[in-house]
Amino acid sequence: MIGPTELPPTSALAAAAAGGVAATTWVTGKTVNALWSINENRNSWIGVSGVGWVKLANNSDSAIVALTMLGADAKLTGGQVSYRQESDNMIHEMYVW
Amino acid sequence: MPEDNETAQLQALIQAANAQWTAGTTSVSVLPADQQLRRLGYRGGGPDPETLEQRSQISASRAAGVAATAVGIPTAYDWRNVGGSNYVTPVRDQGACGSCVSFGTTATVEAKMRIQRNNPGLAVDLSEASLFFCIGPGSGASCSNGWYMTPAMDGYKNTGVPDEPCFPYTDHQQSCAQCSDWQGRATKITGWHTIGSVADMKTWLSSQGPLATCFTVYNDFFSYKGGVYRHVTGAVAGGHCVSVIGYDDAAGCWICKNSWGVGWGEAGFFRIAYGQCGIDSTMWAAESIDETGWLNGVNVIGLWAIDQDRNAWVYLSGYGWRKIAPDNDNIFFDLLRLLAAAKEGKRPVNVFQKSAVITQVYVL
Repeated sequence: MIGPTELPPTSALAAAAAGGVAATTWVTGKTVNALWSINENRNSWIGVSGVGWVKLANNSDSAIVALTMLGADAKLTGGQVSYRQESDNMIHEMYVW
Repeated sequence: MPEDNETAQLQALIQAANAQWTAGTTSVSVLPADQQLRRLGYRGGGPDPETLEQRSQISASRAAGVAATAVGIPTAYDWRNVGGSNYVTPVRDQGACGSCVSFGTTATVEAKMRIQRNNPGLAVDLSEASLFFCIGPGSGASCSNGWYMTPAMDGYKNTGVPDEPCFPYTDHQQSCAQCSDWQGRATKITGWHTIGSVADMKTWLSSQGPLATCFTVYNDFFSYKGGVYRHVTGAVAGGHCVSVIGYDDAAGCWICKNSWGVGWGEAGFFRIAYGQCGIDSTMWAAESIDETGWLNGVNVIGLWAIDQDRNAWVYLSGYGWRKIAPDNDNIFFDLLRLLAAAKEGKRPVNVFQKSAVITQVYVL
């Protein structure tokens, strides 16, 4: 299992890119302005300012719940968010500050 | 004040030998010889890989090639200045006791703790007295006999060393008198190993932290004021251990933190040429600090999650990333939700970590 490498935004060090497939995109310095969830299996989205609705990765129960909690935290605090989006357009990794 | 005759002679010999260091009056050079010898303390041999003589032979035999640096390693590094940050704790003074092994290993572990927590300002001061006078006697450590590196590193791994106030250091032989709650205040390392290749030493130094090392001290070393030391004159005084905090290929030297106070050397530090006096035959690495115990009143300032089962971490201000216990779903979610709530409400938390994994949380 891998772990986080990014340091707090005030740090001089920048976040490390996850690398991997060419379709991987790191989106940084955003805020979450909305949340959405429904009574369907592993279907949870966050609203990202300046971007719109983005779906959370749905490959694992515990992962999607954890990502949803992070999204909720970001919405409540207005904190800065960085996330890795893959070719399926879903968020597979997220930092919330 | 004018240097005495002996120092002037030494300086003349240094110049004649074209050595790149300066001699002078230091806090140790002014002492009588028997007092100087008390400020060493490395025995060599025994449970350690090499005797002092073997160390000198190994270092000298490869001195010519030591300057070469493997590809990808910086040509210089100094843990006192990493992007402007200083991870090295203040210079200590072992005084008139052969406890150098305790000071060299402790200096290395203290810096490692600052590095691991990414906090150069971390207030860490571990008890050299606890290591030397509580753990040491089990393997023959004493002010007059000195000690070995292996049991000192094992002491950090298996027993742990508490903070300085638990057992403040004084420079005389004494029995163990540490605080009764030392175990709850002990810092341990997860493991240690020796490094025998210079390229690997530089790789470690430039990425992981300082290393502990030992070498032969000659009488001229007591008068070292600055520059890159190499042995010029004088008989063997004994073995000594220090912490290597960096290196510099351009000057061809290791940068070391000594334990003779700030009135000796370069404010307590020294530089020594590659291959000299057995300094680089083997060095000792503390792998990481065992992050086990309570962290109280800390702030959660970051969260991280990924598309993997039960893999989420929190960033604790002043400490860094900590993993959330993944034992089962309800444990994982309960802990994550409490920590996120603390972050949202800007409330401090008390957390218990076992090897850097959070297993218990109070939100205050």
